[in-house]
Amino acid sequence: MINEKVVYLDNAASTKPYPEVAERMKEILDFTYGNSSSAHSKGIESYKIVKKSTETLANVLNCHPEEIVITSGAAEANNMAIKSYAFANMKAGKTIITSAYEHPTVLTTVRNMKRFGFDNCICGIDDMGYVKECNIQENVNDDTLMVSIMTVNSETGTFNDIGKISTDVKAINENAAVHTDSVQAFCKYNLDMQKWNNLDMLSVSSHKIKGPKGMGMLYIRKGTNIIPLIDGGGHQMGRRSGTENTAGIAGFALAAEMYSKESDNYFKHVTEINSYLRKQLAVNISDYIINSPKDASPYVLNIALKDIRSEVVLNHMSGKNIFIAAGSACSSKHKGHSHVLEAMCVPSDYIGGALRVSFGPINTKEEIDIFINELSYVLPRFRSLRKR
Amino acid sequence: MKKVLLIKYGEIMLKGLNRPFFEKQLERNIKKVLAGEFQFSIFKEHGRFFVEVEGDDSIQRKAAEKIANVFGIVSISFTTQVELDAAKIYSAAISLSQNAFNSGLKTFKVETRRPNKLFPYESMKFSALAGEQILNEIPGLKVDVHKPDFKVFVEIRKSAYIYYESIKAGGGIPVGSSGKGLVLLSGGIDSPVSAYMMAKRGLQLEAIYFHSHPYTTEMAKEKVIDLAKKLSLYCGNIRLHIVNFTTTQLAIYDKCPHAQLTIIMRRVMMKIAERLAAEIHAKALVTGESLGQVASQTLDSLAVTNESVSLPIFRPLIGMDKYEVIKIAQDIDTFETSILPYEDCCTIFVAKHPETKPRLERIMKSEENIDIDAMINECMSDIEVVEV
Repeated sequence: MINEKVVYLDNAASTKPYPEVAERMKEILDFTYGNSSSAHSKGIESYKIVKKSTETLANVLNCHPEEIVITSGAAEANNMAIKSYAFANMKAGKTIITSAYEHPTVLTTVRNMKRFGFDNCICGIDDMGYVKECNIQENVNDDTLMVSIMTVNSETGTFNDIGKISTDVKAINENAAVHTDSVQAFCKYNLDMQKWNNLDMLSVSSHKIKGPKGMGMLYIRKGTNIIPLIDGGGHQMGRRSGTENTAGIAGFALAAEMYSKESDNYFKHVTEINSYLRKQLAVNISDYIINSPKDASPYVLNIALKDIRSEVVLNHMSGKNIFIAAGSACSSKHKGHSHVLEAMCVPSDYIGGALRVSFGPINTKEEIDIFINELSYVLPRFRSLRKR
Repeated sequence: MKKVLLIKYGEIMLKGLNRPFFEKQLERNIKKVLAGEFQFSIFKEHGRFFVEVEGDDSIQRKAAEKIANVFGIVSISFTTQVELDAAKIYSAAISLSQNAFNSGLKTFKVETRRPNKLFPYESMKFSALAGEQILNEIPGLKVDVHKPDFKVFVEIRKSAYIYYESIKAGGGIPVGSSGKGLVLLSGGIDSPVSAYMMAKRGLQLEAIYFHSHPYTTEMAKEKVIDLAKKLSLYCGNIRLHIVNFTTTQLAIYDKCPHAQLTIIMRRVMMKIAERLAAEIHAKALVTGESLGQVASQTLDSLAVTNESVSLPIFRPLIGMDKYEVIKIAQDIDTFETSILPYEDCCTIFVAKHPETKPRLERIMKSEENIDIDAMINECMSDIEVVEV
């Protein structure tokens, strides 16, 4: 039986935009189509929207609007943070430090910087996904160019205290830059750039907070020297050329404003849903482990089921209108296990059965019941099929 | 003076009394690929089709490229058609040669064919006369009878056709002239190539795909539909039958020895395909098997698979190396789709050490554990048909 109701538990992959965001964007596409660089009034209208939206985004991070570069998403923001900083500061050091639990847009970028003569150091993580503090302290030295550590891990929800990490890094090498991928933390935690005053760069994405896809931003602290990835007409103070996406920026800013306003309520709500799921798992499901620490972001819960292939569960659930992820959505089309869970040393009979359930403000306990019912119904069948 | 596409066909010319049958099929197929997109007329003279397409050069070229995918044709030439008048022929030949010369070609020769003996000049004589006219008109252009940069061809029929430019087509015989076959299409590299090769030998094709949701993803099904679409460029419209194979696959898994899973599964697939073939009046099955490629394609395995049905099984790749198959897959543009990472068979159903030398009696003994007739009936009652 297919549920009429859609149970969407893949909010860490993407979210349903606020209707207000979609309306606002349509309105701008219909009427404010001028180029924000044009000198006529149609262009100026557009410019004003871009300016206002950038101020809104800056407000959410408690930073200056000039410290924000709008990008096509977090992938670009992460690439820009690493490449733009590294190429502009080649004399400051050679080594880029990151962790084994980063998103591929950081990990692959850092690894590929070897082609240009940079070294890298990939710090280990513990069995709950925390970056080992000792690892960072041991590895930061005079040759460290920059450090990039994710704030909230997209697969497990593990929260690393990037404020403290950045302070620790600067205590050893004050010239080393610190970047964080805050895609899963933005608007969900209070990211205050005045408080995190040792952090230099931070990436976020719009579509994880009920904004449109194709939008993101990179916060770059004033005084941080970068060279642009995209040259051209000198948009965004020469840091990223290309006509600004007026509707996209406005939609992104409106989503950030609405999400951050409700942030505390949402946090409380998903915390309840998350703990409800943990309880229901304990009562109804056998032989599983939880790969998310207790103090992880409540928006994400990573479960590993013993002797199961996660994609079979995912495919089955999809047929029932229940949407979850195997590992992370970006990697679930690829064969092999999650690099994050491998780095956490998740046992071999569990790692293939890792599911990521991720929540949003609209999820309900009733939806968790539907998911748990379906899971407890199919697990015995799928388990009997384990490879002989 | 008109622009006309001259279509040469190869193997059909070798046919005897039944040549008209092949020519009619070819004419139908040419009309089919042009219908809807082009305004055209088609006529035949001995051993040639001529297609007149309304529109400029770029539209002619587009039409020629479409025609080049029709099996049975060896080449398409871009001709100028004029009355049987020497002066008009010279004028057309000069104009074409001027184009060739302008594009950087410096030496030429003229070749005349004269099926219409009412034309007063002999072929050799006329080639020399036309050559002389061209030389007089285009200073700088030279004759080279051994290795010319381009050849001006003059065909003397009811009208004269003059050309120097042709594109190659795939050869073979027209799709539909050899009857109908059913190809077992998977998402891999081999089966689309085998379909292409049998279509080239005139087989009209329908396709069957075995889908095992949730053990394989919906994307695997989409991939097969995409492959069928790519094949339809050459094979004409394809009806794709998607069989829900899950229950059957699970029953085989539950009741048969693990090392024999693949061979028994293939035998059951063959039987289902044979039943479908009977319904759609297909007289052969087509597979992408290649001798020795995997365990199920050893001679022993093929013999056991073969025994399951009485219809002929065409295996055009049987003697080909993988890289040869890949080369064709790249040429017909199915390779990139085939290597997308969506598996068409869950590895749960693949034994670690499958039998490579199965013995028919033992396989049949194992098959006593399952009710194959019931399986076939069940699968036949749960088929989704996609017209591609």
